[in-house]
Amino acid sequence: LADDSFLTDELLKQLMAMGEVDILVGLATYNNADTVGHVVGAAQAAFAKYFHRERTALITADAGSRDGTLETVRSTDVRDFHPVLASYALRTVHQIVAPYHGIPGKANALRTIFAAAELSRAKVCVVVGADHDGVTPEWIDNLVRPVRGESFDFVSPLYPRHKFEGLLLKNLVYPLTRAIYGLRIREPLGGENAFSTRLVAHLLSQSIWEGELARFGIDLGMTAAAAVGGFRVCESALGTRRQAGRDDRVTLGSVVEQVVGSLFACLELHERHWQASRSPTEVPVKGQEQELALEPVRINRKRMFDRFRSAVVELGSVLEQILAAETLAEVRALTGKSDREMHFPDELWARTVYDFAAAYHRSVMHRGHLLQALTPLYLGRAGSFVLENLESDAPQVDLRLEELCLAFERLKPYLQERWKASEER
Amino acid sequence: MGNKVIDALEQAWGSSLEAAARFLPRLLAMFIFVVVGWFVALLLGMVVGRVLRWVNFNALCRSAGVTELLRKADLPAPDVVLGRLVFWVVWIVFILSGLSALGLRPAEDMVSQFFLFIPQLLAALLILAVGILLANFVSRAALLAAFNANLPSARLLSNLIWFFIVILAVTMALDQLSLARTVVLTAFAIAFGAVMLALAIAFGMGGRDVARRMLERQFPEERAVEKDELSHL
Repeated sequence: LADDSFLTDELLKQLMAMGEVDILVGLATYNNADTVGHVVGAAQAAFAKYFHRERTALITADAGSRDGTLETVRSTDVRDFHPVLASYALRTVHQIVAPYHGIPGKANALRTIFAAAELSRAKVCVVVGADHDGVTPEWIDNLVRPVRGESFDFVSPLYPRHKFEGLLLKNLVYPLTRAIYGLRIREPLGGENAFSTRLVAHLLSQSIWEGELARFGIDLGMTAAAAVGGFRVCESALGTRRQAGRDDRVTLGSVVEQVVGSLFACLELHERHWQASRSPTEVPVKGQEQELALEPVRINRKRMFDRFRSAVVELGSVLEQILAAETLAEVRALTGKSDREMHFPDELWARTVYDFAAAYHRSVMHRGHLLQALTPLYLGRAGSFVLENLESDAPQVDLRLEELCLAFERLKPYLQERWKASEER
Repeated sequence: MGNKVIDALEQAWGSSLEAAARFLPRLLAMFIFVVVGWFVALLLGMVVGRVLRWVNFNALCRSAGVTELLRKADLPAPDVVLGRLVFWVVWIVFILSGLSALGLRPAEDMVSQFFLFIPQLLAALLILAVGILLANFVSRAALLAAFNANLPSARLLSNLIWFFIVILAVTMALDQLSLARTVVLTAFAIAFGAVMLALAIAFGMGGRDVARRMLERQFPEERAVEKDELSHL
């Protein structure tokens, strides 16, 4: 065990009483009383339906919930979830509830789950989200099988999404992680994942559990660590991940700051890895991939474009310090276009993101300020993406995303050059 | 009579020669101070410049917005500016020491006053530098926060904050130097009061509608707001 000092005596006692297991499912909870019962039921049903011969355990790492989350976890019975199950677990299903010490957050919860997995010598460790009720027993089966049967080390989820869902993920996070790490992982921010024994041990020894990544980007940190460590990675097609109720207090600015800040922190952490150029590797997909949803949705593009245009004018002095002169001139030229003609080209967007990454590395200004300045530019790009794909079907949207990713990959030398230039100054 | 005149002339000549003999070594000492001081100041200025470059001081200034400010004022890079500042301060100290070596009473007074003034000057420069750094940081934070919160006139707000902090820093620096203290403080108090009064009047009378719109936006009534059906993650 890399560092077991953060495990409580009580948890250690429970783990020793439990002994070794084959499959360990972990939940990171904090005030999820509304949804956690469903997730626990789904895990128990998966144990009964798909893994009734295996030694299984369910661990809930809780950050101090006060809404009855733990009581719900303890009282949930598999029969509540699936009253007509044809099979039942032949071995004891261990269930441990582990409030953890330290700073509340997903990183500490996952660290606790991984430490428990390592102590109990779990062959597969699955982490599922407790904040939504989309998890089914089949999801857990789809996550476990690639590790158990095909010796994959890391299983990344694949959710069918609407073509305009996850615009930041599609336009920035996925293309950038793919260009940098050379792996085509479409959901690098995770949600539901499975890990092999050796990846769990590797992750516990990494420096991702503290600092910027631990606060906001632990999922991204784990995906990146798996890619850099050369582990066998695959994607597993799961069902629709129903979003939990949107928290209006979380602004787009803070989302961009946290997600893109974590991504840029990963770039700095793994600089040596991505500076060596390598061609992207296909990641095998397990299960039947579902098509994108295409039904019309309400999006106010005018508002997005207005924010973009006024940002280029109002934040000009800030952008001058971040963007290369050529990039800034091209971005400024876009503001003269009407809403119908607005087209933020892939290459310009890739250069914009790379300029921001280099400026982040160079610390041209307070990093929070820098990331806040990216938000309105992203809105311009997102609005352009929506406009261009209004009538597109699923294959066309996939093609557009592929072109964007190729632009990011093609311009990787530009990032390397800007990054290097920033170090020489 | 003739002898007396000759004696007087000889005495005066002797005194002059004696005074010159006393003064010339001091004058020479002053020149040595000035010349040696120039070399020492040049050396120290270069050393400071090198050390600042070594510790990447320019990058720090760039992130704090100081470089941009210097560029707008047509001044060189921060390490060069500080190097030159060190050069001039050190050389002036040597020049004043040279003047002191002349043994002239007014020069000695001036030198002692200057040495008493140096700590105040450094403190004032520090206050000014910190003030400018703070002004740049806070005004940029205000600009980005106001813009992303969709507040009107984000840039105007940011500029006002910048000017307010810089004027405050300049006033504090001048006060530290005890330069026209009463005039500076009174002018600042009047200017600050006038700005506040103008804002109050403008907001209270001229900008009633704007204020209402802003408050309505800040505290909206419970009503169905049409939201986008897109998610970013």
